[in-house]
Amino acid sequence: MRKTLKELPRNTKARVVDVATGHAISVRLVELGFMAGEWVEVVHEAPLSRDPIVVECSGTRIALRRSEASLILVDDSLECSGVQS
Amino acid sequence: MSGSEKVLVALVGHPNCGKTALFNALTGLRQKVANYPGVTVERVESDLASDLGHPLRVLDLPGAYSLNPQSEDEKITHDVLLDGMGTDARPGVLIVVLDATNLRLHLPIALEVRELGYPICVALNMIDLAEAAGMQLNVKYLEEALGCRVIPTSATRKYGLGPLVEAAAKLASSEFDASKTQWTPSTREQIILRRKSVEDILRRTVVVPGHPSLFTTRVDRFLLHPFLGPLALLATVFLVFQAVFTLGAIPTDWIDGVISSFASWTRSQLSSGMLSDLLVDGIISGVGAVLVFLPQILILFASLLILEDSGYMARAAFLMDRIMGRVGLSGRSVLPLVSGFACAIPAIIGSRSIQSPAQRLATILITPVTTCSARLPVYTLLIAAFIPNTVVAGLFGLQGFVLTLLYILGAVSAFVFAGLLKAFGLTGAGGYFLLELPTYRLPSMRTVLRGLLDCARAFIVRAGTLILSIMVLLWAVSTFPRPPEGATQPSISYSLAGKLGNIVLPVLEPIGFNWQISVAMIPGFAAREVLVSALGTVYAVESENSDDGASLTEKIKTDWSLPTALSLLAWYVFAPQCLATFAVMQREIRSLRLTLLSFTVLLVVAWLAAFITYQVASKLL
Repeated sequence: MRKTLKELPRNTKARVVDVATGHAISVRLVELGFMAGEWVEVVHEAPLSRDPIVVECSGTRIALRRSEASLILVDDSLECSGVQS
Repeated sequence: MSGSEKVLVALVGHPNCGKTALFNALTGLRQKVANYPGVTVERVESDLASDLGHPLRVLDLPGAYSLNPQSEDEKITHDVLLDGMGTDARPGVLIVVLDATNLRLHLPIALEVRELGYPICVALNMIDLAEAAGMQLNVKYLEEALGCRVIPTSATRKYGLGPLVEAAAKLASSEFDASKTQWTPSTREQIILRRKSVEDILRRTVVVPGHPSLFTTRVDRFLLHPFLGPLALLATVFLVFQAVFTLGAIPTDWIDGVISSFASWTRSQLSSGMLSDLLVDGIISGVGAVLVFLPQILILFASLLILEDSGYMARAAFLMDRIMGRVGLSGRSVLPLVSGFACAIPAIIGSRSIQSPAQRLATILITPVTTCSARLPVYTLLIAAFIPNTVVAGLFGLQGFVLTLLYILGAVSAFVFAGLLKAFGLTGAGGYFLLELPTYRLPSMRTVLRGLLDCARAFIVRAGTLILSIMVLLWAVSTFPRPPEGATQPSISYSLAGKLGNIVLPVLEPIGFNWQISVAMIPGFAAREVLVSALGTVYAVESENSDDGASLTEKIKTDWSLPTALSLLAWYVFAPQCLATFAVMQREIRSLRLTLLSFTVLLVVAWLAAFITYQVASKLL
């Protein structure tokens, strides 16, 4: 199912579908490895508010707020998960 | 570029590629910190001995993820590579530093920089960690794919440094016209293409991928735990402050002892008179009063360097982001604000790494309220003189408790100010938080040591120049003009300082300050800690004939009331008494309006806080 990274539950793997353009950090997100086809997983949530989150993406841990995570569209449906690279 | 001229070699790489550790390993402990011509931006460089080819200078550029700058420090790297920021800062050779354990993330900048046309070579850094993880890399193939030399290095083990310098020296003699460099910001398609070619290169470079280190994952499970994480953070802060105040007190007492025996020895060697007064009261006790705090500042600084170098600071930023976000700051504000406990100036400069301009501005504007180490001498003097060291609730010493309270007051005020700035719309909207959490590493002792040496050097130079000259000047204005024959009052009240003190006294009387404090306050605007030395001088000059030998603590104890002391403490929490901080603030934010506003607001708040404290304390006590 397609959703934004903001809504992805913890410890669930998903693949990046797209990163929204136009935000000040859109380009940086792509540079940090959020590209179509990459595996991502929310590995930590901050205390209490569960925001920001730590996302693992191609071997790199990136902390970001949920508002920025909403720029990243992911797909966590089973048929997509196939072989994990 | 003429033949004998030293060629500038710049290190380029991500913030966490071990670039600075590599720089330190290459240059030893003899770096130079200078400013770029025209723009006051720190530039760290050093001469490099190379037996082959060209004599070299090495420049450590701020870490950058790409040439598409997202923050002020990345912009420096961008500007240096593209227009040199002044002619002599233009590098002739680039060393791209990559983290061998995470090439997928680090290789793109090598591809991007290669397009600029500079002669480049690549340092495949942290190769020891990659090998320890069982990774096997085909360096020959990587050289082929990148079209340049690739040298495996390890800054911590001093491995591969010789070949790296050799490669850079060889490149330095090649012809290169920097003015022909062409660059346009990468489009998203170009970035994706670059990542795709990285995948292609990696398929043939990585022979054995190695097992990913589980250490960081395991430690993070604890340190980023929703409940244990914040506890660990609190414990860390507590430990650092304990170290500063208990460990730091030991060498502080030694230094204090050495300085006072030196002072009495000097006095015994000279006949009593003006020279002896100047040397002992003005110079030795003045500079000494500041030097005694060096150990505490160094311990604080070392703790910060270790926390930063190990990778924990990024975790603290993550844990704190929510609270910071409430008042318009971000997790990235944590490191600058915490280093503000040492000194506001590096804290303001450190704010360059905050990507969002609004959050950066807010962080800079509240930095002057964080309890910098220059306040410590003042707090310590007043607390020792006026707060009895009784035990409260069977646990805390009252003196330590009051000191902690002052630090908390500073931190809370910083938050309140940030909230007000946000509410009044002064810092603008549009904040975000994006931060790579690096792999945990053992801090590089060389990096910590170099940081400490720089800090100590700056501190001692400051004590020897700025503070020394202020003390001599203050001694002169509080000694001259001499009192007339048959004067009845202490001679200082006839001096220029006495007269100046009486002019500002009407403003300071309502908050309980006497004229001695008023006099000492004036040089205190150059540097906060000068107040202690200045009070020492004022009281020493005042009591010159009755050499009772009483310490400054005893003198102010008998001379001041408790409300006066409390009021002075409250004043020092807020007062903008460090003009250098505001000079740096203006340089960094380039808004005279906001800098002056910040100064004025803090001055008014300091007066009000002192006024309320004095009036309430006078009624109650």
